[in-house]
Formats: sequence, structure tokens, C-alpha cells
Amino acid sequence: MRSRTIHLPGGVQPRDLLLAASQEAGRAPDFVLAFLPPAEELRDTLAAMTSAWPDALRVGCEAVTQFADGAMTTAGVIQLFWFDDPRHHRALVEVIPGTHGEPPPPRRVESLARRIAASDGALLLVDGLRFPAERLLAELRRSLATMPPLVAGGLASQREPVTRAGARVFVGDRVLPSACLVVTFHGITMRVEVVRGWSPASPVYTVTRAEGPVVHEIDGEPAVEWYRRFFSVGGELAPMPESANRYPLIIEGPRPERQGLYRSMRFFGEPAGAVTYWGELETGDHVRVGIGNGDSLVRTASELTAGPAPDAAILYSCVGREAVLGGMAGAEVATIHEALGGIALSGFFTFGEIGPTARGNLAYYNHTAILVLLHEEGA
Amino acid sequence: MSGPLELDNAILRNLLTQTTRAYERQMAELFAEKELAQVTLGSIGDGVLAADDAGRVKYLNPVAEKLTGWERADAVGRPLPEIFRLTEPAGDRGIEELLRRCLEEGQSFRLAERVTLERRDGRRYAIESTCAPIRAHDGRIIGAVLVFQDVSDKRLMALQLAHQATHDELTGLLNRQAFDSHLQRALEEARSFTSTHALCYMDLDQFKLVNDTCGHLAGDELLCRITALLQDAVRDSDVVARLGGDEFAVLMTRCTLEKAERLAAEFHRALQDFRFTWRDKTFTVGASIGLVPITREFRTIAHLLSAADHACYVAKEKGRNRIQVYQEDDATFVRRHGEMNWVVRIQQTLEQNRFRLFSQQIQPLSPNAPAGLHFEVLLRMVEDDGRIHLPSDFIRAAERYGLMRSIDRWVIRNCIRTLMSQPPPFLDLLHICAINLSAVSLGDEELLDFMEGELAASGVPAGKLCFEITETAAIENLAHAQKLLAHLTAKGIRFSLDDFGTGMSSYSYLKDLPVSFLKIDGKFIKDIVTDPLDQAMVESINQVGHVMGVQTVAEGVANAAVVERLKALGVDYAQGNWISPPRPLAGLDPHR
Repeated sequence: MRSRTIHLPGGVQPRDLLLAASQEAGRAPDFVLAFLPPAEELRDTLAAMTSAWPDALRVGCEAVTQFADGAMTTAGVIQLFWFDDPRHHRALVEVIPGTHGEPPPPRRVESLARRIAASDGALLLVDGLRFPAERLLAELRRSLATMPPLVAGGLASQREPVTRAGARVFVGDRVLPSACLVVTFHGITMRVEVVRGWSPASPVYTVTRAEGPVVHEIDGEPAVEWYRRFFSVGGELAPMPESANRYPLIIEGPRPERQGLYRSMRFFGEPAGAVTYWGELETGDHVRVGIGNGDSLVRTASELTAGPAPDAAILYSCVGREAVLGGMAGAEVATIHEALGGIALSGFFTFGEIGPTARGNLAYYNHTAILVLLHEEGA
Repeated sequence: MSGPLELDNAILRNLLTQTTRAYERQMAELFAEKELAQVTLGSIGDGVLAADDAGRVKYLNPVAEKLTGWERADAVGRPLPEIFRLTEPAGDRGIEELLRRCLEEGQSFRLAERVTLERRDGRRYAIESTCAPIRAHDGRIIGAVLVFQDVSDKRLMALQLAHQATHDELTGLLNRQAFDSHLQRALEEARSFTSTHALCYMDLDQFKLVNDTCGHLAGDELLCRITALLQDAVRDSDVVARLGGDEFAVLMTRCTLEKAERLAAEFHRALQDFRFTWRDKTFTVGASIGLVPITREFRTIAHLLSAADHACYVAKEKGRNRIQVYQEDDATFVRRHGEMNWVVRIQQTLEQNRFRLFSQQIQPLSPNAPAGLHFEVLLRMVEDDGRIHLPSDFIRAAERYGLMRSIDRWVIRNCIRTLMSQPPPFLDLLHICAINLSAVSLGDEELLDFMEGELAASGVPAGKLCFEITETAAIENLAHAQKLLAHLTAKGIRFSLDDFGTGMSSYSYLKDLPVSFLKIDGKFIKDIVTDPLDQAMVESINQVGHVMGVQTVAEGVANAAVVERLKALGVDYAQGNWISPPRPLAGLDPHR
């Protein structure tokens, strides 16, 4: 497999630029992955891509901040993939349309599970605001009885305030509201690294009442009061949820498949007395407050080993990390790109990452960076 | 609000505070748990000894300190087998191996029985102990814990009980039951031609005289002295037993008949030279000794003992104080054997239904005594040729050869049937029918069912029946007797304590036995008119009986003067041949 990224300039993308970028391969790419800024020019860029590579599978999603190889950009990135054996090795996409916040019907989930089980790995790109990604993952976990192939991905992101149309995904030149894309690879192997960099900094507490992403009580007291223990300074509460998101919640069990998941805060005091996260928590989860900084996150990234030489990489890093990294956000992707030997890499800061845990699969993360490494078999 | 750096510092301080508080709380909880665990371990009555995964002592509780003789401070860090020193059968190597298996293989085990712990000062304790691995929360074995108890008293008691079960309390010799097992082994060896043994059976000739003239204490002392003589005479390999009363037996193992005769003669000579002195009286003591070579011809122990008994009997017949070797073809012996083979005769009598029931009336001495017929049922054995035997002829053989249970049941069944077969108004006029019950039946757990079955089948009211038991039998089987009496009295059956005064004569037992009558033995009645001691005894028994709500019956009443004296003392009933000689039960006239 060959792969390269196109660092897009701002504004409308000229078709010729795209064509020129794919000239060196002597043929149109087999698979195109685009992470494009949520802007008015989105549809024009998609139209240009269609015009340039009408026969390629083209998928992607909106992203506020993107990665292009070792650099960070907000103008968008396109990654092109040429398979060495396109007759046998391929990427296929299945669209799960929006269902008004409900997960897809069981038969659809089962069909999807069968498709994933028959593949060598799958990428999920999900509307980051309107599609119930975590519930889909739960349904898929139930349907996939045995350990499925690796599944990784991210939730499209949107600029603040996030009250607009959602964080959308697209296939070809169609922008899909509230949808989820499932790209399955066949003949392409996937390896997934979860980049963390957080350390537990508090005792272990128990979530004593939670419903979905809303946590009402921790350690027997209202979640907001529990947070005040840590985030009150001189009697005043620090700005929330920004302050809390520099200290993510680490899930430490007791269910083994939930160990090592992180949760970022979305709303503090909404509903009253409760805290809402970007991911779900369960009553009985054991949690600790995590601590980290730019240095610890970048250092973790630097400790990555490339392993068997990958052909291309995709990075989904949490927006919560972006907040902590601040000025060092670029350093993380540069470090990872360097650790991978400079292979083509695209990605973005996501509203939520999907990847495996040490004891499970199809987990929904916050505050991590999920690195997907692709390699074509027999190449 | 402060700047970002100050904010982070403040949050970090908060995290540290919360962590410290939680740590302190957890430490306090852990400390409390540890305290509780240590107090618990310190309070329990078992020794607890914990070792680490290298088998080195980590902890001893106070009981373990006491039993091992090691203080905790000295013991901690030392190899466990050094502190927990076992002697036979586990031994030091044993505990090391068990500890290894516990630590390496995670096995729990219980130490072998009879293991002994040697304390640091050499003192030994019989212990019971278990050993189990200690596991960390992840299942890893991090040590072993031994829990042990001092069971020295328990083991001593078990040994004592075992000894009591197999030995005669007075002489310390083997009892009949234990001797039987030795005899059985000898018989089996004889049958397989592997060994030659002999059985010596002896009966003291003067014992009754000593007992009667000097009392039971003297009799007991004589038995102990004879035991000592006997033990000196026999070899270490021989087995000596007291079979009961003044009867002794010696199993001479790996011993020809000639050798057995020499040994028996040696003992007999020693006995001839022996003089028993009690206060101002001196007795010579003789013994009639029967000697039997144990051969394969003897099929059972009973057969063998019977031969020895018969040889002894012949010795008595020939003038006592001699040794008689069993000879199958001895005409005298054969005749005696035929006559004395009570076992066969009792069995035949039972099979042929030749026992007969007689009755002897018990007469009320007080005008206030309840009206109605009151009698004791007596047993007689009728031979083929019509000769009649009294129980004294065959009861000893029946007791020795386990036939009393069958005889008792025969009596109960036939007595009840005879009562039922009497024409009216016999049952209405009947007040009490007293039936003798042997010691064996008193311990027979199935007797209750048998009784219930017979009563139900016959329709005789239970309140008409009374069982006579001897005080010796009742006391020997006190627990069983209490149970049986409780069940049967609940059904209305009454009990008499027979021959009272001849056995233990302990009034305290009366409180434990719900009897209705005390039958004062005839030997106190016989001379009551002339012997103030006998009169005092009867008066005492009568008073105690009345205080306890028990009516008294004087046995062996032989003349009118005795009757008058008994009336004067307030005794309730009288029985004896002078009052009413035994008559066949079947023809009993209820109006007499």
C-alpha cells in the first residue's frame, strides 16, 4: 500500500491541486480519507474530490483541527491510499443513517456485526454530536460474541458553540446528517495504539448513581459537590468544565473491560447537582481523578514503537487532550509522526475516540489519542 | 479567581488533601481491622502459627506461644519446623514436607491423628492440627497458617475409655469381651495349624467364704492378690483375664499342653502356699482349674469356653483345688459335658417351647394396700424327661452365652398370652403381674418395640404389668435403663427394683429410676426378728422408699414372726414360700 497526505490550503480546493497530488502514483487512489473543516466550502471540496477521483471510495468527516503528517492544520487534510492488490484488497463503506438519537435496529446492528467480523478491521467515523456512538458500540459488543477484528475511529468535531447542525460525516459528495460510517478493510491489517499519558492522582471513588453520560452521585454525594472537593480554590469553584477537563476521570473497574477508560466533562451542574460527560459512566464504576500535562502526553507519544512497518497511519486525538496540550498540541502529532518513521498520517482532534481496551474491544474513550496503523497484507 | 498556574497548584493541593485523608481513613480502617484480627487471634482457644512463603514464622498467638514454649519475639523469623516440633508419627521431616506441599501446591491438610507437639522445654502435648495456605488477594500463596489444639486430656480420656472398655476395673486384667478377641485369634491360628495354644480356666474355691465372712472389700482384695499371683506365674506372652466374679482365664500362647500343665501347676503351687489374711482371719485359697489345648476341633469361642468350663467343673467334682485337663473321651467328662451343656439345652427348650411360667403371690401387709392379685412370674425349665430346673441352674449359662435376650422375650410374650387366656374376671381382678427383666434386656434397644407390639397384639392393659430389674443391672446400664423406664412408665408399665440391698445399695440411684417398688433382698429379711442390723437395714430401706413414694416388698419371708415385724416396720408387701409357694401361672386362682 502507498499513501500520502494532501495538506489543503484554505478556501476552495482547486481540482487540479488534487489531481496533481495523485499524479505520482500514476493512477487514481483506491481509497480517500478526508478530514475537513466545518465550513461553507465543504461541499465544494467534496465536489472537487469527486471530480478528481470519481471511482475512488471517498469518506471523511468534519474536524476543527486536523493532522497532516507531523503538522497540525485547520484547513483540512486528505489522505490518499493506493492498494498494491486492488483487485483483492479493498476498503468498503456502510452508512448507518441517523436515527434521532436511538441506536440502529437490532437486525441492522447484527448485519453490521457480521460485516465487521468478516473484515480485517474497521474504522468508524461518527457524527460527534447527534449519533449515539456509545450505544451503537454497546449493541455491537453484544452482537459480536467472540473477539472481533479491531475497530477504531473517532467522532467528528465541531466548533464552539456546538449547537449547529452536528458534526457530520460524508461519503462521496454527500454530507450525511447524524450518521455513522463504517469502513471495513479487507486484505488490509490494522493495529491500534491507545496513547494515554494520564496518571491517577486521587483515591478510588465509586460512582453511586449514573444514567448514561449523566452522573448524579459519586461517593454518595452529588457529583457537583464531589467535584468541589478538588476544584474549589479559596472557596470559589474553578471554571467548569474547562478545569475538570485538565483532570479527566479514569475508570478503574470493577468491570475489567472498562478499566483504563477516561471520561471528559461536558456540562457541570446540568442537570442540577449532576455532571454530564462526553461518554457514559455506570453506577458502580470505580473512578479516580487523573492528572497529566503537555509533557506527560507528548512523552507518552514518544514512547510509541512503530512495530511491524505500517504503510499509513490515522490519528484520532481527543479535544480534551488538545485543551491540556495547549501550545504543545503540534508537538504530540509531530512526535508520533517521527516515532512512526515519517509515514503518511492524517487525523484530527475528535469529540470521542473508539478503540480497544486491554480486556475488551469497541470501547469509547475520552482524553486519549487512538492511533490506527494500516498495512496491506502480502505487499 | 487566580491565574492558571495558581489554579493548578490549588487543585493539586486539594487532590493531595483528599488523597491524604483517604489514606488516613484507610490506614485507620486497616489498623482497626488488624487490631480486631489480632485481638481475635489472641482470644481464641486454639494455637495459631503463621509462616511466610519461605516457611519462616511470622506470627504466634498466645496459645501457640504457650504450647510451643516459644515467645513471639524469639520465634519470628525462625523456620517453622524448629518452632512447631512434632514427634511420632509426623516427625520433623513430616512437617517440612507438609509445609512444602502447602506452600508450593496450595494444599490444605489435617495432621495425622495421635501427633505430638514437643514444646521448647521438652514437654509434650497431644495435638490436633490443620495447615492451610494463606493467599494474597490475587490468589498468590504468601504463607501458611497452622491452627492447633491441645488434645492431651481428650486423648487421655479416650485411652482411659478404651482401657475401661477392655479391662476389668478391679484387677486391671482384660475383661471377657477383650479376652474373646484374643481367643478368636488363637482359635483361627489353631485352625490353620500355625500355632499351638492352651486355655486355662479357673474358679477360686474359697472366694464365696471370704466374701460372705469378711465382706465385699475383702473379696475384692483377695481377687487383686490372686491377680498378682497369676501374673507372676504366667509368661509375658500369655493373656490373663477376669471373666467375672471369681473366674479367671489365661490364654497360653504358643504353648503345648505339657507346658501349659507345668505353668498351671506352678500357679497352683503358688496358690497353695498363699495365705490371705483379713483382719484377724486367715484363709487358704484353692482353685479348680480346667485346662484345654486349643485345637481345630473347637469351632467357636463358646465351644472352647464351654470345654474349659466343663474341665473346671470336673475339677470341682473331683474334690476341688486341682487341675483338670480337658479330655473328650473322659467318661465322666462326657457325661458332665452332656449334662452341663446348658447352651444346647436352653436353645432346645426355647425351640420346643418347654419353659414353664409359675407365679408367686405378693401379699399386701397393710390394709390400705390396693386390692387385687399381685404376683411375680417365675421361670422353670422342663426337661424331656419331666425334670424341672430352677433359673439358678441355667441363668448363668444363658447370660454367658447370650441367651438371656431370647429367654426374656419368651417370658414376656408367654406371660402376656397366658394372662389374656385366663377366663374373666381374671384381668379385672389382676392388680400387678411382675416379670423379671435381665440386665441384657435392659440394654436392648429393640425391647421397646417388642413390648409395644406384644401389648398391642394382646390387649393386656400396660398398667397391669411391672418389670423387676436388679439394682446392679439398672446401674450398670443406667443410661439405657433410664431411657427404657421412661418410655415404658409413660405407657403405664411399672418397675420394681429387685434384690435391693445386695448390690450398690445407693439411694441416689433411686432418684434416677422411676420405680414403683423396692424389693428388699431376702437375706435382710431372714433374720430380721433376731438381727438388729438386718432390722435397721430394712427399716432404712423402707423409710427411704416411702419418702420417695416407692412401695416396699420384703422377699424371702419364711414365718409369721417375720410378717409381724415387717408390719410393724411399715413394709407394704411380703413375698416368700411361707406366704405362697410358686404355682403354675396358667392355673392361678385370682380369688385366693
